[in-house]
Amino acid sequence: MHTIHYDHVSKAFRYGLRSTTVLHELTLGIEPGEIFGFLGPNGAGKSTAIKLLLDFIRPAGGRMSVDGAVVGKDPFRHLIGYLPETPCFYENLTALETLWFAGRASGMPPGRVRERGAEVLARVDLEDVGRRPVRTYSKGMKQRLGLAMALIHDPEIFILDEPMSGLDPMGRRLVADIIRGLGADRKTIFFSSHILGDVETLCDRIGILNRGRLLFCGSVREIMDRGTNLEEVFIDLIERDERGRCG
Amino acid sequence: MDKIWLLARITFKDGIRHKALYGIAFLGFLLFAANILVTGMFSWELGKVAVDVGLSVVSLSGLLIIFFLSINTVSNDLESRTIYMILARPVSRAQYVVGKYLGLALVILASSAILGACAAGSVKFATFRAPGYIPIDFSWGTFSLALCFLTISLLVLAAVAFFWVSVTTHPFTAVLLSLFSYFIGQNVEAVKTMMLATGVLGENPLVLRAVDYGAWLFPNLAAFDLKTTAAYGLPIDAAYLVWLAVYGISYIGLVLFLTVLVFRRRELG
Repeated sequence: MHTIHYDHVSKAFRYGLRSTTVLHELTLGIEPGEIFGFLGPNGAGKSTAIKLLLDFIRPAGGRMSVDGAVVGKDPFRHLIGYLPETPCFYENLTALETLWFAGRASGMPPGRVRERGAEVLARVDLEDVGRRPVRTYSKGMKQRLGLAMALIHDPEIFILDEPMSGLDPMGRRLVADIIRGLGADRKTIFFSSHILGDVETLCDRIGILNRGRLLFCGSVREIMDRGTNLEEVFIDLIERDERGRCG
Repeated sequence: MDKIWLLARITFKDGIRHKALYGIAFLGFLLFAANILVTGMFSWELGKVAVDVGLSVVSLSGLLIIFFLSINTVSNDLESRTIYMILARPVSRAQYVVGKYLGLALVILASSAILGACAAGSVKFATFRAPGYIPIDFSWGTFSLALCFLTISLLVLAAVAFFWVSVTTHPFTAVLLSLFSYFIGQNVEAVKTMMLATGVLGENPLVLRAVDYGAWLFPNLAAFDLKTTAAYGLPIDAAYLVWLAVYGISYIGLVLFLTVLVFRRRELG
């Protein structure tokens, strides 16, 4: 059984009288314990697919499941740790208060939240600023706090939308190390990214999306057989798809 | 219930640390100082003026909190996607609506309590200088009741504002609709009574029906205004107050229920 499963999922957005389909019958399965990279150019539909999975928006057709729980019907959010593309917080709270909410809302007992809060803050290198209001944080610090929120309740499944965005090289390395560590613990990680180098080194399998259609889904080794590096193959796939559309 | 309380707590904490609240509180204190100055210029009904101005300042500050803090906070949750931080947890949309509302209600309650104490202080100070001008039947009990019902009316308006934020896509529209609801709520009952009593537009059944529907749909905020009663120390019927409180709380419950229904269907993309 797939840990995360998209089954012919479509999504259309309405702009005035016009309706635009942004996801076409997406079918995708992510195996337990694998690191899956979701790639695509801007506007390809990656974030839309993730928001659908979290039930923030509703599909026009198809169904999704997380660890067997049907999205929109069964409870599943206790199973996942989610990092949005641009994490936003209650700016007047401190990082520790934010993590307190995250842990308690995920059902953790108060004592454990305190312990684990300090632990994950140290893991994302924010332990010295835990008592400062979030409004004083830089973009990179907010990104790392978002990751700490995803980690606090030690879920089995991670859904990370552009986890490296807004990070400096040190921050990127830190996040990459955390993802690697989670992978070593056999956690399932589904993440979208633009940074192909990171995807190449971190992922077991990848999916490439363009204009809402899945162009490729397979192992990194499989795609690397098509060219010298992931970036080259990625650009080639997208360009071929674009040419195909133009006729 | 735990999750609702958790949400209420973080909303309250975030709200009371908001810079806008400090501005509103500062304005409130300035107006209380003005109350003392203004009442010094009156040579009659000094106590009435002090009570009236004091409670009006609490009301004005509450309205500013609703329009500049509450609407902004909920809109910000939706626009900047702060809501993802909450709904990515095992928190339902209904729990979000109720928890968020309770947190904002706590901010309004805290503001009413602090500014109400300041209002009482300004009344005490103004009348201390001229004890002869205190209405004979003035009682702090009635003053406190007026403050309580003023706060309930603010809570009703906050629920209505939350509803408008949930059905609109822009905070400015929500502010406009909330202002519109406030003005209708303050005046519709008086307009209806006046129309029926004087026969103005009485021949036009459409207008009468529209006003009638308006009186049913929008909250009768004027009913919660007990400033005159407090200022003159007039007697109040206990049963009337109980029904008024029941009306206010039921209205809040109904509006929150509708907000939950709308919110469940809303796309948070």
